[in-house]
Amino acid sequence: MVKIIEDTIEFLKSVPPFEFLDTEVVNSIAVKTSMEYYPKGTHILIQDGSPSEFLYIIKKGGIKVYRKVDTEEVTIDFRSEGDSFGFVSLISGDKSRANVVAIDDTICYLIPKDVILNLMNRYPEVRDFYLKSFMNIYIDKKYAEETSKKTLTATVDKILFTTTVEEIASKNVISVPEHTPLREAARIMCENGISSLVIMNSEGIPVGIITDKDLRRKVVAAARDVNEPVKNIMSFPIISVDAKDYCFEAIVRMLKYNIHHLLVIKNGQIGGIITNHDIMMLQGLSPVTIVRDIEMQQSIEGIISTSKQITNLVGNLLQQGAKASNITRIITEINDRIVRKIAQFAEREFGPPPLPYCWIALGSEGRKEQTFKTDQDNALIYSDPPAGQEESIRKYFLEFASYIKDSLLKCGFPPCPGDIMASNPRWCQPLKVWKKYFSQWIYTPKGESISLSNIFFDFRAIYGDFSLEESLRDYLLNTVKDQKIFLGYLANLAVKNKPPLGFFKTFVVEKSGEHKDKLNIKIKGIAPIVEIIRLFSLEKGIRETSTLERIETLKNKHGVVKDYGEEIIYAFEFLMLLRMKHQYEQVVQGMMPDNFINPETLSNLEKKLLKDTFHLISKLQDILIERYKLMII
Amino acid sequence: MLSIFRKKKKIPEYKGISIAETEFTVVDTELTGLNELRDTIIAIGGIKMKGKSIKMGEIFYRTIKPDRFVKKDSIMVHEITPSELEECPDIAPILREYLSFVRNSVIVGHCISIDIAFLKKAIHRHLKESYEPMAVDTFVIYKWLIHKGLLPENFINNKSLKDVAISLGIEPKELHDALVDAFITAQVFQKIITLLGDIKIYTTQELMDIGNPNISGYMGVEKKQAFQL
Repeated sequence: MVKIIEDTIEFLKSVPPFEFLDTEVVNSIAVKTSMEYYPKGTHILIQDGSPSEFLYIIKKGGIKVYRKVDTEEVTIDFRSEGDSFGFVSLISGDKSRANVVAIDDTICYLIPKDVILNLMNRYPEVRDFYLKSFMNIYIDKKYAEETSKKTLTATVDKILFTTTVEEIASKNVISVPEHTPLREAARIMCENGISSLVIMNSEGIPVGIITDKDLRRKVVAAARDVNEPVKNIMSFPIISVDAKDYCFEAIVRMLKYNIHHLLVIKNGQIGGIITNHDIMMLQGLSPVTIVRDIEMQQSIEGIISTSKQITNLVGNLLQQGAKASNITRIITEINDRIVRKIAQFAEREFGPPPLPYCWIALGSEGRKEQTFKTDQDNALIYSDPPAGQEESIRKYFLEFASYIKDSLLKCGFPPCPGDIMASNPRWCQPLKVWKKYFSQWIYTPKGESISLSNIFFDFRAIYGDFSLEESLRDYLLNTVKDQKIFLGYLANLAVKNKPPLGFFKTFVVEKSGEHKDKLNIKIKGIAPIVEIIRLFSLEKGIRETSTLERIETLKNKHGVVKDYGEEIIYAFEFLMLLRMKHQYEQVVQGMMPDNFINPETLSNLEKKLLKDTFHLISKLQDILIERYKLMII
Repeated sequence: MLSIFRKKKKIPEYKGISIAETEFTVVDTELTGLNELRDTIIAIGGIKMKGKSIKMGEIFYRTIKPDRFVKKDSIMVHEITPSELEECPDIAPILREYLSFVRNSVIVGHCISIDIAFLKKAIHRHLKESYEPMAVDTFVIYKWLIHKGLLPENFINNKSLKDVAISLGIEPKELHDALVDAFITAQVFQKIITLLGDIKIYTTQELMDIGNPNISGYMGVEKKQAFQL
């Protein structure tokens, strides 16, 4: 009978986050909703105007979100039917950050502010949805745009974050069946003027790729029979990138797999090929150029000059609005390559290693969470030496490790104050000693062993024989399994630092001293999340070391992460970005980067997010206390 | 109480009030026919607006037991059968509810004088009260806008709510339910207010001058031609 409300409910039930709610709840929203009509060209919200009192959901038509920066108009987004707007200004109570103009005759449903706030308080799925969409806007767009006014003016990498793969990828993809003779494949490449061919299996699924380089190296140089099928020389599995991804995603993949061609997938189909050449054409200095420079160097001096560009690179990436996790991925990739190159120089200097070894990164480097150049945290594992050769082998690896330490120092990586470096004889050991260390820490978890296990258990192979690292990981996960007492100690540590929120939800800051009125977001925010997630990973025998990758893997395995995983990811991204912004500003001003942030310098929005983050941490800590209550001191 | 002793209702002064601040109730009735002597109200629908904002939850819809015979052909139009109407409550309490729903708002409707005439008669008969609401007629304003050249001249042939709605880009889904008709009329009113805004007409007094349902017949524009703002 009441058809009007039914239509509204039906519409709301088709758009997130309302689609997650029960019909009665949606009904209670619908009766508070009003419907507005905006002819094309109407300004619905105005930049720096009054805050939005409604969440607007577009029923029909479309809008454009844009900002005026000086006299320039920057388009932020277009939204259409089913999308919403006004949320950021509504939730923060700040003046509107952008203009919203109807680009078509537009009808919107308007949901009053109090209804939305009430929903967010009552339904976590609603809060998560808005937090998520808001974080995306915040991280990807608004931040990029706000910072573009600041000090650095380089636009080099901007392109990497604004250009999609699709825009520059070659659409001309030619594929051949896997049994095509090499001669025929080469002829097709020549005729079409292309440098790569996609290889399909009998079911028409792309299984590999061959490039000019493969023909040179695997055919001509190896004097291979040109009648052999392409299958024999193809590279596989085939690495792909989505057409809608930004170019920097393609770069990260090329860096990671050390390849120059990626298959572009559009709507599940082959959409093109993108090469490093395409990307280099697009921009000048970039992560790719830095990596290429590193690869080309033949001496430490060359690497030193290249590695100096990292701060600028971080600045650029921040400026372009990259997510914290993407920035750290690129930095990790570059730093890893610096270490690998230096290790190669060391092998050249001291001769081939007498036994297989593996250079491992620890702590934040092991978790791929470095921002700026941080202290060295590393160690070395080598195969168990045959009887009688222990001393000479030990001597080789210690000299080797000292060389690497000194070289990293020259590149601007300060030594670890706690001397947790491979150059320290204690941390340059054969596999069996490492196993002994690990079991000692786990079986007698007190004092130093807990703090050491926190650093060492995030170990990650950087260079050498990765199977050593794998064996040690197997050993660790087997040993730690069901070690309730040890896990209890870790839980104790993870709940030690309570989030700094006062009774009235104010931030509790340092009362005096150098960091008066500030709070340490590493100790109070980042570390608890890292520690909680590490504990869960050890509980479940997860091999990943980076916090975000751990969360992703744990989502299917750990109840708490299943429930809170998305929230934790956003909280972690937010804290990392906040820290990175802060540290970048310090570095630019010639200061030593630290983790002390004055909450009063944050925007209302950032304050709100920070409070939400601390609440989340507090909730997780309560869950830990509940689970480990017998062991919590 | 006899209506003669009742103080004449204070008519609110709309001179300086903007359309945006004014509360409107868009009203539509379903009738057994158009003969005031013979026919009767069988449903009342209403939806509130503030300015041009339609309040989706502030709606009124009641079906009423008719006090006389319902013609067969109108059953086909309303899809309300006599037996269904038998189930419906008496008109008097519904009219009270209606009055309390529309209180202090300006009534809006398509050819609203017909609805008001039936309501007035019913209220007088069953409640012994007079009903003299402030009202604007969307159809009168629509014609006025055509006459002023703000809507295309060929729109002059549109008479039914459905045709008017379609001409303004509104999809009239299922007509002939008093509430749905009121909702469609509300959307027509939304567009009309916007068009008036384009020629700097913002006050409710001006709106009522243009849209006064008593100023002209609905099918002709003779009186309106003389009407100058």
